[in-house]
Amino acid sequence: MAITRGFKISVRKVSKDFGVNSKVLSNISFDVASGEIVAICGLSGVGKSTLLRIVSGLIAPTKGDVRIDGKVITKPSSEMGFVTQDYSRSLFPWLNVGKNVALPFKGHDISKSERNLRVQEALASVGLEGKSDAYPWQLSGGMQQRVAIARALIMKPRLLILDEPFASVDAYVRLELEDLVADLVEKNQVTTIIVTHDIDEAIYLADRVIALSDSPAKVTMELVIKLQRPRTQMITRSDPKFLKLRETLYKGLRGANV
Amino acid sequence: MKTYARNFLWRSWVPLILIALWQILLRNSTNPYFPTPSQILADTKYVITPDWIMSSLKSSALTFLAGYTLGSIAGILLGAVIGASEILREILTPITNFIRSIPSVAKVPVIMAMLGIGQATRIATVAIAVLFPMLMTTTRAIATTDAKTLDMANLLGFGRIRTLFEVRLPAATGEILTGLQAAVQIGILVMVISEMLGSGIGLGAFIIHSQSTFMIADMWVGIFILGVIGLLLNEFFLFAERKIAPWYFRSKGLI
Amino acid sequence: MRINSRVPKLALTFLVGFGLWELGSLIANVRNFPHSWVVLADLASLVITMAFWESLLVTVGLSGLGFIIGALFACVIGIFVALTKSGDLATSGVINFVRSIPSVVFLPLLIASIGSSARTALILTSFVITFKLVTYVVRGIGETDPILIESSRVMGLRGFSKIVYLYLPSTTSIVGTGLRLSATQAFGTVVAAGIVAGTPGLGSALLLAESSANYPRVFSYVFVMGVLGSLIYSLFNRTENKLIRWRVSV
Repeated sequence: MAITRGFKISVRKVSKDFGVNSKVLSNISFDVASGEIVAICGLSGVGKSTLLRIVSGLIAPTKGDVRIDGKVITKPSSEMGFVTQDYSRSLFPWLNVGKNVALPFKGHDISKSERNLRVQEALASVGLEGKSDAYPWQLSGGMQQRVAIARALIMKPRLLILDEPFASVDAYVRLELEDLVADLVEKNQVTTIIVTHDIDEAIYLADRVIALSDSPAKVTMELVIKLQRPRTQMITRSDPKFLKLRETLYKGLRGANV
Repeated sequence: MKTYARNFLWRSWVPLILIALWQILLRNSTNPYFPTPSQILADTKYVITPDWIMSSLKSSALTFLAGYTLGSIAGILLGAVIGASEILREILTPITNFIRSIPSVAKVPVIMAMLGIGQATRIATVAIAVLFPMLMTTTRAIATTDAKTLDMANLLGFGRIRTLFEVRLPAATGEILTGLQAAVQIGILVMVISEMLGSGIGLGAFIIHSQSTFMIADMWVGIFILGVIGLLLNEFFLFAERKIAPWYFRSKGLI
Repeated sequence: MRINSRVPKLALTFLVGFGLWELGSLIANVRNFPHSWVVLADLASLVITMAFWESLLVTVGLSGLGFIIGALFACVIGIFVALTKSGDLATSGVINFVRSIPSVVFLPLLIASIGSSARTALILTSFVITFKLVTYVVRGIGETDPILIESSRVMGLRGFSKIVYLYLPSTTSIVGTGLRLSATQAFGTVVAAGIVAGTPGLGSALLLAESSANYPRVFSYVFVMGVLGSLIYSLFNRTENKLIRWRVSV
């Protein structure tokens, strides 16, 4: 894979426990190459979000470390974009869409006109041109998530992290958003880590899927997805290779239980 | 605007009926303590003279507005700082809880003992009475800021102070507004009491004075004016809530 | 900075409290705002007197009674208003109006007509509590899940059992908050009646101390009221938590 501007991530032997009897993650190791899209897939509650918070620098691992481009991270990087499942809680409800999307600019020396321009660009890239004066509560779930995505990408981050981004939107909107993200990631050449419990989604979007299961959570499988890009909902999902991968991943998720 | 007016009228039919009932039932009674509404109304023009407005009403208005504003600003700022710091919260909460548990009425003689009699004291009394509930409301609101929202602030690189003023406080706007609404009633109560117990100026003093000089109709006029003021302030809050924090009040189904 | 065990925290709280009190003494003058140990000494001598416990019991008794009477009236009126649906929108205007009037302004009226007795305080308190709780009862009934109402209709639940099995549990969470606030207000109103009108109880005792410039005594009473207020608060909080374990508090 060609070197892109995206970060190279290296997760090494990460373990996390919250107190004596609550070991959540055990010895997790994997790499993400520059510009690669990796999906972390596992059942709800297995610890995916915890792992994500460690990778993004929000919390520290009990053992092991995470390196970005070779350097150990201790706090969230400014070149990272983050999209969570709960758009209603991560978008600031007292700011309109435009101001929400412009939030990452705070503290940076950018002129007002430049800022406006980039906000409009970002909104256009997610299909929300003209909506910058609306407030989050006036928009549908899918649209709010688009705002969140626009905000995550506006500073042209080198790492994009998505935590179950489509779990709270309805099925059809989910498919649209999946394609939107795939498209934007390709355009922005950003390393992407997406966490999802949806097997189909993981395979559809990723270059590689990491299956997490068991308790405490371990990596039970790493699956390379050799499906052609660009991928489409109709064609890719009915490709026999897709179905085979699906079966393999499903088994990998059952982990030691199969 | 039209629906608002219509709602308001619709909401008023019960009070109007009650007043009509009052008028009819007591029309022929000679009870000196409950004059009929028509008598009270007639008396109004004797009470609400420019003089009276200038002295009593102005004094009460000043006491309340100054005290309420000072108290709520202080309460919100202190509450914000305490709410954002776990250690301050843990140390100070029992103390503020205790002081808040003291009936406001009881605080008035204490403050008057400390600061004497006079308008400044009354303002201070209202301010203190409003400060504590606002402090506690704000502390709670700030301390319970949504973890996901705070995460986002963290990810966006906001430091502690910025997070407090640009994330936690705005997020708490709805709760703070609700607290401010409740604080109005406390403020009015304490204002009236401090006027009753202190010197002879203001609505509260007027009401007591009217009663002691047996001008009962006057007293009722005073009571009604208090009610109207409270009602207007309440309506103001309903309006403000809608404008300032629609996202919060909608989610609570109050709009 | 994190302090991890309870005792140091409590100690710090007391220290800060003591510090703030002494600051108060410093700012005002020591005659009007006595040192904390002076007040504590006075408090100690106060709690061993019979008179103290009498006024305490009177205050608590009147608060409790006023609370119960007010709650009963609020339930009756509230249920009536809620079940005749138009009532709700219409009554909120009256109720807001009355709630805005501090109860104390009626005291002069009541004193003049029926004197400054315990009964006066009781009437006033019941009146205040009724108005305060009615809104909560109406809201509580109004927010009963319509799906539950449908289900109970299908199951043939009628009349009294409907109230007990459907509406009562649904309202407990909202009304729970209302009850706690009302209990606090009942206490406050009884004390207010005492301070402003001299009705029996802790309020008038405080007034007496104040008019004889016995400031340590004044502060002792204030302290006692704080303790009582806190007790009422935690009592209702605990009950509220037990009752609504299946629901999130409003």
